[in-house]
Amino acid sequence: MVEVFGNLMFWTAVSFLILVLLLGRYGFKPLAEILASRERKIRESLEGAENARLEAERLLREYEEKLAEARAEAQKFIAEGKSLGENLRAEIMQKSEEEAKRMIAKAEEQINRDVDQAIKELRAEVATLSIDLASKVIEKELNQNTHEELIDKYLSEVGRF
Amino acid sequence: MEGINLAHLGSGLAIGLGALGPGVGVGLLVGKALEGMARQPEMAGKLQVAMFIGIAIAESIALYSFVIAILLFTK
Amino acid sequence: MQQIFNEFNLRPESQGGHGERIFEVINLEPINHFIRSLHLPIDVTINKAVVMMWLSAIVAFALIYYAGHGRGLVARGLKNAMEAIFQFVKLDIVEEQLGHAGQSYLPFVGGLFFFILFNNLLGLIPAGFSAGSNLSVTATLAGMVLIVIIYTGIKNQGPLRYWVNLAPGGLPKPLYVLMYPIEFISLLSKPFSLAVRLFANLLAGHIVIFSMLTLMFLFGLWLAPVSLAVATAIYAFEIFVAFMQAYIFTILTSVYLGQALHPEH
Repeated sequence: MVEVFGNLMFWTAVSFLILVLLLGRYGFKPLAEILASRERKIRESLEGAENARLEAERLLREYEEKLAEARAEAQKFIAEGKSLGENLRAEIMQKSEEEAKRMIAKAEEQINRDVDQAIKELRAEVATLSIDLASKVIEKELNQNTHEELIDKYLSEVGRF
Repeated sequence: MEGINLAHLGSGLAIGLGALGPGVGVGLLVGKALEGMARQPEMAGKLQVAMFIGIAIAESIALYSFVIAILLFTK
Repeated sequence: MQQIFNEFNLRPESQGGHGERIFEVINLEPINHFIRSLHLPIDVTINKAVVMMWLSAIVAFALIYYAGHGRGLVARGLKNAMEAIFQFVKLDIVEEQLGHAGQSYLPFVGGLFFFILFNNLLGLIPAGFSAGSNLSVTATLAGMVLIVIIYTGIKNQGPLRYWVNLAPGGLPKPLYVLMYPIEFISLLSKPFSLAVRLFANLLAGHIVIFSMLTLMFLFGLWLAPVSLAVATAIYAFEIFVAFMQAYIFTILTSVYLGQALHPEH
């Protein structure tokens, strides 16, 4: 136990050194490589999963953006249609109002014209009638040309009624 | 009684007395280490390594006396 | 009691003149007779400790080789266990203590770990013999550790500076007269304590198991259940000790190597 054995020391040194050489050359390297490659692979797959998650999130955000865009577009279309209808309605109303005004004006004009015509005709009639009457009354042929003044005076008196 | 050998007595005393100090030491060491681990669980790994090294060093004192005991016993 | 010690004694005359036997079957005497007839300058006769040492080295290398040369990245069973132990040695012992520069010490420290571990474990199988329970073996290992420590220190700090750095700097000059012998003795005591610790742990474990079993025959067979139970418990504890001692031997080696690599200024 406690005494020195030369053969044991020799064999310990030899077998230990051979073991260290063998392990250093053939034992540890492949094992370390396997462990390193497994670590790499796990890290890679974790990174891949992370990337896929980020990609999916990005896509989701994109779709949401597109959806919001489409919704806004639809809203815009509806608003546009509404305003178009409003405009159309206003235009039509304005047009019809104008038409009505125009028609009223036309009617007024016509009425005025008719009244004028009637007055004119009436005046002519009155003139002839009054001439007739006057000629009958004074029994004297009045010359229309020479007594224009008189006629006008008379007419203005008639027009006052 | 025949065959009573003072070397045997010395051997027993050597291992008995020699184990006394390291026993107390290892107890203190582990107790303190556990205290530290309970206080800072995130340091448990480092504390454990340091604890084992300390135990080994404390224990080796007992083992020296064990070797002396064997030397005396087989004398 | 003397028989128990004889079990661990490797002197040829303690074997009762029948020659060395391993596993109580194979007789090594003819081989030794042949070796002695060669008249080599050093004693290279083999005994059961030597054979167990070969066995442990072969088993260690075979298992690591097996673990490193498999197909596929997913390991299971024994391979997984070897990978876990290797990873532990690599990360928690070598890289923890020596940093990344310690990669080149991995074969030495890992070899120490597996050699000691399988030596201890083979000593635990029935009729096996732990080569580590002999001081010559552990002293040789510790001596190699000392050589590697001094070599590392000289290589990293230069032949003169290593010896200068042995003592911590910044002390009053006369104290160095005292410090250098103390530090030198402490340097030598490192491998000494490594060797004695490993040897004494293994020997103590085996002796305690044998003593427990001997109690059975000393006090009569009615004690058999108790002594068998205690011996089994200690046996289980010995398996833990086998790992523990391999771990402590290697981690202390790494700590000493780390001190030689990165000296405190």
